[in-house]
Amino acid sequence: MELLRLESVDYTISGETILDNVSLSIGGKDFLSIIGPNGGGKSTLLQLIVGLISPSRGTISLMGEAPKVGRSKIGYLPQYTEFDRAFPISVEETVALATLQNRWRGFLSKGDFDRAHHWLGQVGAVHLAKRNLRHLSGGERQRVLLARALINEPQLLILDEPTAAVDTEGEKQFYDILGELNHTMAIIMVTHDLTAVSAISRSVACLNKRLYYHGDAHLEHADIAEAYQCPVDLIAHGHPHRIFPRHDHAS
Amino acid sequence: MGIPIEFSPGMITLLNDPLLTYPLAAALLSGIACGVVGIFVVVKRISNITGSIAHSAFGGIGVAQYLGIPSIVGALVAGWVSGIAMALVRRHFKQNEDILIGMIWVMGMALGLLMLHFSTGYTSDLFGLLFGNILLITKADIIRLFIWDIAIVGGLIAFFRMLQAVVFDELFATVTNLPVATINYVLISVVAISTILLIKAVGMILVIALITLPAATAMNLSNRFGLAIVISIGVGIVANLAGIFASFAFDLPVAPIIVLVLMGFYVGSIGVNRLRS
Repeated sequence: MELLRLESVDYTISGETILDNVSLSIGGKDFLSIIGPNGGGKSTLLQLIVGLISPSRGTISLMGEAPKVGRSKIGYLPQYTEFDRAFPISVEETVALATLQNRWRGFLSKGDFDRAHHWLGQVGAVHLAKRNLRHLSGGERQRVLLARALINEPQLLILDEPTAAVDTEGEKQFYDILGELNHTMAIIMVTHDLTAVSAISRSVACLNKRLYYHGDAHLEHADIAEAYQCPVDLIAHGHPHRIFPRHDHAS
Repeated sequence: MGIPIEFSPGMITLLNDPLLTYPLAAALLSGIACGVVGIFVVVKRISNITGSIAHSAFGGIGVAQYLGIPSIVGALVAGWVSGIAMALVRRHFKQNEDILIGMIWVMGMALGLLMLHFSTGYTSDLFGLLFGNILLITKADIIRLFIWDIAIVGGLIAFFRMLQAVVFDELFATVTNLPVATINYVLISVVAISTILLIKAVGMILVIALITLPAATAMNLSNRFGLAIVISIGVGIVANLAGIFASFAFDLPVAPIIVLVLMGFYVGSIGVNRLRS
């Protein structure tokens, strides 16, 4: 089943092209990592997918519907910087609040908290349920936010720089969980972490205005170099892992 | 000192009634309103919008006096329109937010002064409007505050979790299709109306302190959103009572004492927070 489809999407703001003719299709148990330089349009692409902004040209279909409708059926883990980190809220509340979607409801039921505990268990964070979110480590917090993204049992999970503020150990744990989750859902992950890309992704795309992407095949090193417009070291996925040689951009 | 908002012989009321009844009621009711509203102002970081709303009310009062309509109506209309205008700009043209806030702030003052200059037959008490006096609060003020408190506490209880979801993480709330825009406009309206109703107690300059400081204190002390609201209410009430007590016991002006006590709580809460972490 196709979960996400972008067709010839452009996004232009104040005459500047941020995304140029981007097409993409995600379905089944895909795991697409999107890498690319800062300012390459990664955040813009995710904003378009979840309907926070509209494309200047082209069409986007999320879960077979317009992004503003389809977005409530996906799991979404926004960037770490998006919320007030000093906000007084417990871990179980953070996760359970996601059950409010689409409804005018002022209360959370015991069932909502039970579901929160279940999904906290799935990401190995149920022992943190009563803790305050602001007192968690980077890795713990991201696992909690992952549980929040999962509580409505989505078929598609979208992650925006999920390990940006996470230490190496936390990162490994997080990626292990993603690997497990990928058995039951498709995943799109925007990341800076090139090494992780190769270890867990089924496919990788590079975004710098244009999307350099070959479906489920691995990304060609030339595409990455073109997208980044600089030399890139990359471990390619596959078994055994391959490491691209360093290329001199001038040559 | 008198207040132009529906001026009534407050001193006589005070002398007739048990002397403290109205001020104590005002201390309690304004503490509740400030405590609830303040948490949202602090979390959403809109204390500058609140200040601008308070000053726009001055323009509204001036225009109301000039037109001969009740001051409270002028203040409420000006405060609410300004609040919604700032919320709209914040949502759609965020880069211009600062300019608009500053503009409404000074325009409110300028318009108010000009209109009061042209108003005849009324000697306005500018000092009272700027700094307020909880001791001069009238029965009508108390009734208005009481009804308003019931409305906002009722709304808070009915929609508590949804409000929590939206103010905690607006982006995630948007993606899960909660009515984020509607909630934001309702919140700014509640902030505007509360600010105007509270001007009587502490004046338009100090109302910002009474809204933001108890909430900021509570945010330092509590790990839970609901508890933070309760603490915020408590801090506001205690500061108001301290102001009234200082006024009666030592003949000191009420509003500055309230603000100084609030500052004391806030600085103390920073200390407690540091010690705990």
